[in-house]
Amino acid sequence: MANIAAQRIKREFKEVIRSEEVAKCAIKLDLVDNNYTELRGEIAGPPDTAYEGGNFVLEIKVPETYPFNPPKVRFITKIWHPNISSVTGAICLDILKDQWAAAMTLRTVLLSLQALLSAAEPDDPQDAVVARQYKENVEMFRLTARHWTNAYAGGPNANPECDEKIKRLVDMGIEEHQARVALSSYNWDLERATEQLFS
Amino acid sequence: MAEGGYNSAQESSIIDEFAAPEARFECPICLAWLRDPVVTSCGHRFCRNCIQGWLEKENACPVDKMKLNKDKDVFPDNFTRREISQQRTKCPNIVRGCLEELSPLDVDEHLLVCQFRVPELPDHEKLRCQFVDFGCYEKFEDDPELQRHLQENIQLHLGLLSRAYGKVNVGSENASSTLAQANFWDPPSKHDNQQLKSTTGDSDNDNLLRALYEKIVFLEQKTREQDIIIANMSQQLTNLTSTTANFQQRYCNGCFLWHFNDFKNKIAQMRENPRLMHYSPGFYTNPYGYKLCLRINLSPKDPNYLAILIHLMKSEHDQALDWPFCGRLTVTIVHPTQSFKNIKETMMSRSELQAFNRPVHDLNPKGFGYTEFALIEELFNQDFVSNNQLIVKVNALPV
Repeated sequence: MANIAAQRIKREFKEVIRSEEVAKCAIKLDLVDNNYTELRGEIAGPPDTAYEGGNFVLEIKVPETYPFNPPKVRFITKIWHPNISSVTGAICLDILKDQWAAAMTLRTVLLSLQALLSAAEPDDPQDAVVARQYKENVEMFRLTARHWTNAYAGGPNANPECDEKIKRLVDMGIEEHQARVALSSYNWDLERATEQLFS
Repeated sequence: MAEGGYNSAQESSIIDEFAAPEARFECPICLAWLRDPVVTSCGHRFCRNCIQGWLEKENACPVDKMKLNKDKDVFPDNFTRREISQQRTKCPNIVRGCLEELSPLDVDEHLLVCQFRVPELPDHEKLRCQFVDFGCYEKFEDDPELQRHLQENIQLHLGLLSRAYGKVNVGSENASSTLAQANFWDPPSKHDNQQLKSTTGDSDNDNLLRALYEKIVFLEQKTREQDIIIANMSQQLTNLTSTTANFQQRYCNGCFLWHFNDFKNKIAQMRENPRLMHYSPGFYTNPYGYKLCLRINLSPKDPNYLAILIHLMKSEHDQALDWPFCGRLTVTIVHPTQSFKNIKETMMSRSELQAFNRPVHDLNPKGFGYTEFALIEELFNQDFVSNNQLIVKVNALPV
């Protein structure tokens, strides 16, 4: 079993390396260890989304039962998305769970994740807070996602207003990420975020 | 069409150990050649073991999610089995000399025992792609693999090179002129071929720099050695010259010519400072004789006159000589062209004078001669001074 997994990952790794998506820098795959059980993926934020210009790093763990079971994938780069936990990076995507098929590959997984960034599924959320914001105030969601992309994924669109509010909380002694989470969760309402942080 | 397909499939399997088989021979689960192929009712081929393993926990096709019953919907695909069994592929180690031809199914097993396989090297001992500096980080077990990689990835490497070239474009003009000069400088030595090769290579600026640097170090070293040799030789030359001069003065038999240089300047200096005196080098009346020298200064009585006096000097064999000095001294100011104009005075020594006693110091403080030997004005007017030089001749003859 383990032999099939390693053999397959080797072949897949070559496939990804030679794929045109790699050539376009849309996806990337690196080995973390030499026995093909852990890899590091990277996807570019899709154009015309809040994630545009960001690079998102993924942790990929290949189970011994691969490809009969899906790889375990989570975001290492922090991201604001209804189907991805803003705390752990855990992903809610059917193909990584019950809809996995042995004919899928790491390349198709990375491309599916890229597609997930383009088309969120707020009705099947992983992060309830983000999903609620997405449903209630999609503009606020986009602003927040763009800000997180800028803060964590090297995205180009900085939002001075958000940065200013975070700085206010940091000046009060709040850790930066904690401040960002609180403000993001309360639609950048500084008062409510402060209240929540100090209650 | 089919023929061509076979050919390319075989070729790619020779070139790449992990090359994917042609799609119709590939199992979507293990991505390898179909082993004991089966076909599903939805029309997809798998290795028997692969699809059985999948259908033990799922009940749908891994490709199109059609419902499948593992007992009813999976059939042996003997057509594909026969086709695959007719395939022959060469061992990937052909580049290292393995001539084995096998069924693609047996390649993996063969590779484990192939005597031409290379032992897995630790990561740091693997060969790096030569283009590692330009961004190709592939590593290889041995040279054939590296060569194969280089052949296959010419396009990629050219791309990396052109990107790197774009970055160093600023310095490239300098580099290429250095290149041209380097070729120009290169002596036609036995290393020449190698150097040419490395300098003409586009990516070999490093090698070029290294070669030039080595050359500079070599030349610097050589220059330093030459400097030392030159210093030694000029030292020897100086010694020799002074020895020769000593010789001349020792073996002049009492006849000494003094070329009194820079005459005008010295006269001017002496006029400014009347106590200034000029002494000639010492000379000998014979090799073991008296040592004498001339003195020129302005006459203390009348500074228009030049005083020429003779001093006895201490020599290393004074003890073998008779004292006080006794003999005839002739002093001549030599005219450079007309010898009849020479000013010549002869004097006999006078034993009662201190000047002729055996010298106690290096130089006997008393001299003997004429304090008003010649009128300076006259010397200039009569053209005694040529090339700003006055020639004074002494003849000392002890009796």
